[in-house]
Amino acid sequence: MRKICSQGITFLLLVLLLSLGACQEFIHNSFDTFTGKIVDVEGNPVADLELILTQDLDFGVAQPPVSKSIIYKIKTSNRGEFRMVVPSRMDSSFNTEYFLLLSAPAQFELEESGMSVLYRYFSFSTAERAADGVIDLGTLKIVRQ
Amino acid sequence: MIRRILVVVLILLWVSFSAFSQDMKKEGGPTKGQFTFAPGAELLYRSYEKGSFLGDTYAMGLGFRLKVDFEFSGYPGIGVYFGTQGSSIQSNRFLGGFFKEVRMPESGIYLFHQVPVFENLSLRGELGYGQLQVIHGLSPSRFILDYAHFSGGLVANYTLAKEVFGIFDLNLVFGGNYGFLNGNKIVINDLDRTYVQRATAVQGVFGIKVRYL
Repeated sequence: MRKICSQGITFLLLVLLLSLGACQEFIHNSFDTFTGKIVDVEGNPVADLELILTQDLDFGVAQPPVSKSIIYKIKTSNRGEFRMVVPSRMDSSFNTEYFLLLSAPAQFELEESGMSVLYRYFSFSTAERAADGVIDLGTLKIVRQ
Repeated sequence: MIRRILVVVLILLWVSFSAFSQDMKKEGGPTKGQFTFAPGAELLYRSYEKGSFLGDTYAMGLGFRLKVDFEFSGYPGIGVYFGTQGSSIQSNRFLGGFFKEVRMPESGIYLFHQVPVFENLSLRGELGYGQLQVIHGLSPSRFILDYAHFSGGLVANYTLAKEVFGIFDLNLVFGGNYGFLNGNKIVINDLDRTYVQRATAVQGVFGIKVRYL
């Protein structure tokens, strides 16, 4: 009887430890870096363009979508490039999706099923990071309004 | 270059301390080979060099350190320490504003060699290695950065009272050290790697130590 009890307690402790590990939100000693380049419809780099990184986008009645909290607000370089760094989140976390917004009156032109579609935000997740934590968002085309 | 010079100076200081202490022993002092241990508590203030992630991201406050020396008198000794320092997070481009609080516990080991200068005053050189953790947030949303901390310094011991109850000396301790921090476990992009992984620090300490005879 005692043996069964001690095995049960050991099992419960193991489950508790595993669940605590699974609940961990961030990956220690690891940063994700989002990089990319913004170009206009003619493919020219867009310098000094303000970008907003957020995880909290309000898709309500307001148009365009509004960020409820801002992680970073940065400007693109002379070559239209940007780089943003955040602590890495576990893939099991519910917060691995990020949104990129434009401060200027412009929209992202994205390819969907071979067609160009305009979006007021660009969404991405951290699922596919390189060994050094870089998530390359590639070249993003914008259309000014 | 400055780092290399400092390392060389610390090593030379360490070597010269050993030679100096042997001269002093000939003039009298504690019995050579006598084992002593000395627990102590110190207030500390460490400042990280600006231009590094640690220096630019955290505003440092006062901290404390608990330590114990083990020594055979006249020979280099060894000690262990544990401490922590208060700090707050400044505006930065790495933590995303995800955290409000941060703690910086550190534990480690050090070698030291102590020589008497005057009747109640002795100087010691220290070389240390510690593991610093920078812990952001609270569990389960904690984010930890690990740094190895190599340091060297000079500490003065002033004996306030000798052979209290015949069993211990009470000492006042004050000094400083210079350290290098290396966070080579930290994964980050090439461009920011050196900035985040490396730092230097200057630290001042002030405290008391009880040396059991």
